[in-house]
Amino acid sequence: MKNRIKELRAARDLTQAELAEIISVSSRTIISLEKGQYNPSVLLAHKLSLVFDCPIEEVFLFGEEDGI
Amino acid sequence: MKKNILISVCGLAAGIVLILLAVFVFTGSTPLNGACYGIGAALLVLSAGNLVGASVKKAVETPETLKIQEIEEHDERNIRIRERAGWNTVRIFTPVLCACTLVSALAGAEVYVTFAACGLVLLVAGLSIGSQIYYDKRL
Repeated sequence: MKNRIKELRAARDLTQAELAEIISVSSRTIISLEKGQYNPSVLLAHKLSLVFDCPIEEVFLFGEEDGI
Repeated sequence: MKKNILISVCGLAAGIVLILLAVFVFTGSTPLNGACYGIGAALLVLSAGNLVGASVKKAVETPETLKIQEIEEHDERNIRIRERAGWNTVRIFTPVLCACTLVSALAGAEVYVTFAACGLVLLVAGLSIGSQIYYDKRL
């Protein structure tokens, strides 16, 4: 699943470590999310959308390859 | 943490008791003597290792390291990695264990070796099926 985490994080001037600390996950999880290697749980996606103050579908880009 | 230390202390005591039993009660070259020595030594070393590890961990522990440890432990990616690693281990280990059991039976190994291997196969299969039923109901 593609996402805009890197772009949104940069726009808010946050480092990967800072974002990881805010949502209580490891920095490695943020790296994997940004690379699109890891699909988060609904809870983590919700936390990210709250941090970036935008809906989940603006953070995560759902496409046909995701079966949607 | 306190529970782990208590378990280690109990293990240490049990190990010492087993070794003392082997030295003073079940003397001679008998299977019981060997079992007491083996299990006692294993318990003693593992428990002592746990206690030393816990004391070192406590000495270097800070609120910062505790927080990092907490995050790493509850990180959902780490949880998923642990689950997949566990599942893959069972997936690979089960046929290997079955093959070893078959080879031991066909190669004419001692009966107790084959029985022990069969027991392990049954234990792994039982745990796997039991876990699947448990999580099927729970999740």
